[in-house]
Amino acid sequence: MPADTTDAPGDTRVDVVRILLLIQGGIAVTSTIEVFLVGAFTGFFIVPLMLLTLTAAIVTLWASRGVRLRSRRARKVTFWAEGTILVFALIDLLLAIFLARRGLALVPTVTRIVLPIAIMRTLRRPHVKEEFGIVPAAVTAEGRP
Amino acid sequence: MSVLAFHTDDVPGTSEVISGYVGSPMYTVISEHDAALITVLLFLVGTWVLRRLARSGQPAAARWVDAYRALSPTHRMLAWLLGASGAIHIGLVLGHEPSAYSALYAIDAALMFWLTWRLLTARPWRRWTRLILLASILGYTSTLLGGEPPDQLGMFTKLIEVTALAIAMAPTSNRRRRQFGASAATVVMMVFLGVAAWSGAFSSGGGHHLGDVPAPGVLLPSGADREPTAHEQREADELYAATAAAIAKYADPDTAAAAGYNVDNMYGLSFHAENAAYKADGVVLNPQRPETLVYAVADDGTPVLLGAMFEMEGIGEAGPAVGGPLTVWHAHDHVCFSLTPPAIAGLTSPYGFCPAGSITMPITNEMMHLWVLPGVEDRFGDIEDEWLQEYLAAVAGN
Repeated sequence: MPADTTDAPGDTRVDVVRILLLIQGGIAVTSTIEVFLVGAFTGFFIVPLMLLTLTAAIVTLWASRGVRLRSRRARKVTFWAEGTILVFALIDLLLAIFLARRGLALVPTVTRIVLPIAIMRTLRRPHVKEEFGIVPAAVTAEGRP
Repeated sequence: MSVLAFHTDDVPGTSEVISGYVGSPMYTVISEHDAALITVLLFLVGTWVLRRLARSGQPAAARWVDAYRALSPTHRMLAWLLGASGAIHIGLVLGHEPSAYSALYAIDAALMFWLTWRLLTARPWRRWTRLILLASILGYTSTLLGGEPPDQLGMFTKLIEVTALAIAMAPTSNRRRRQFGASAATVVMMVFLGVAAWSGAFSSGGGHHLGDVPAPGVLLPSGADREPTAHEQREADELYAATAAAIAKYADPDTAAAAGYNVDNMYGLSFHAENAAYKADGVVLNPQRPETLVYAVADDGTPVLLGAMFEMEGIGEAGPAVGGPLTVWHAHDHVCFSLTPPAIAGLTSPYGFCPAGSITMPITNEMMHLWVLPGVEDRFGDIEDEWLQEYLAAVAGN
């Protein structure tokens, strides 16, 4: 059974990013459902929050697909999305340290700090940038296409 | 620290999430799982040693490292994920008493390493990986749905396994429909696991007594429950009678509004009407000046005064437990606070996220409810939802 051992076609580090974005997308979809359920149970719907969370889910899943298609825009959007996650994680970390004298728990450390950093670092690798058609500065300086 | 100086040592199933408090296991690693943290670290050290040995020319180590390097990037990640899951399961075996569960953990560990071996030795692995990971994830979710609470290590392990499954499910062709199907299955799996985690956390936790496993978002002072002394019973009765008499007039929300309570836009079964002046007056546990009143709105729109809530002013300040175990103060943790607009937006999810545009309040100040409804079972604790619904239906009927 060859399909059981072979790699997916063109499997590169970009596909690692795609998988990680897909996991983040799943988390964002779960959060969207949670916001709606909290509204349904408490009778207090925070519409801007629902729209923001839904948008985050759509953007993350779109970025996962876009990255697979080597879209430069998806790469750029991914940086913004991951940066935003990191900023909010940093705020929460500082609140946890100053108010509760502890850090973030294991899962949020992974999902909100390790994952975004891994995604951003991978997308900044020269080989990965090339896959998105971004030529390294040194190469363009030499006048190569 | 609370004035109730108890310890968690004799209270099985509770976990101290913040010094002096026990909270839901969902937000911490329970002590039985500490060994798994060590084994996963040993796994990481082991792979580092293997690499060093390969570099120094050790043939067996070099063979494994070469096999790893021959893999594509996603399959390298898969090897890490499977190995980490196997290491964690070994730790689970070590951390638990021998039981059917520990036997299953041992089998799971063996299977994860077996899959890693198949992947590294280029043997057919995809179908087995899908099957075993799916079984492992479904096994965990079924225990959650059966009422077991998740903890941070459990969720971390399943995140690893869902990610591994997403790789194993990735189609080997570029067919769009298959790509979409595999992605959709991953998202559905994540949602399913998240819902199951909430279900387990809420069905296993609840109550406001010392020694209870708190519901997600609730922190109780550490310690085991005990019988109150005669003095504590008398103090609790006096506090209750004085407060019930003092707030009876607030059954009319207009009177409460005139006293400074914010009763605007009342809704739901647990509307907390705060009095900004009383919250910052430096007075604690004064029956004449409770910081918050609690109302429910019956089906016919009638507002019903449920009781009062006393609150401490600063985070970390322990409430005076005048009635001992009868008057247990609690705090909240992992509360999501929306910035758009400012409002409470729920609790941190099992994946560690709050809704977009909100921050996590790691802990609140201490508070204590006092319920004045006739016939309420737990005067200072929690009101059962079902009981409250029946009571409100009766009020609306009258």
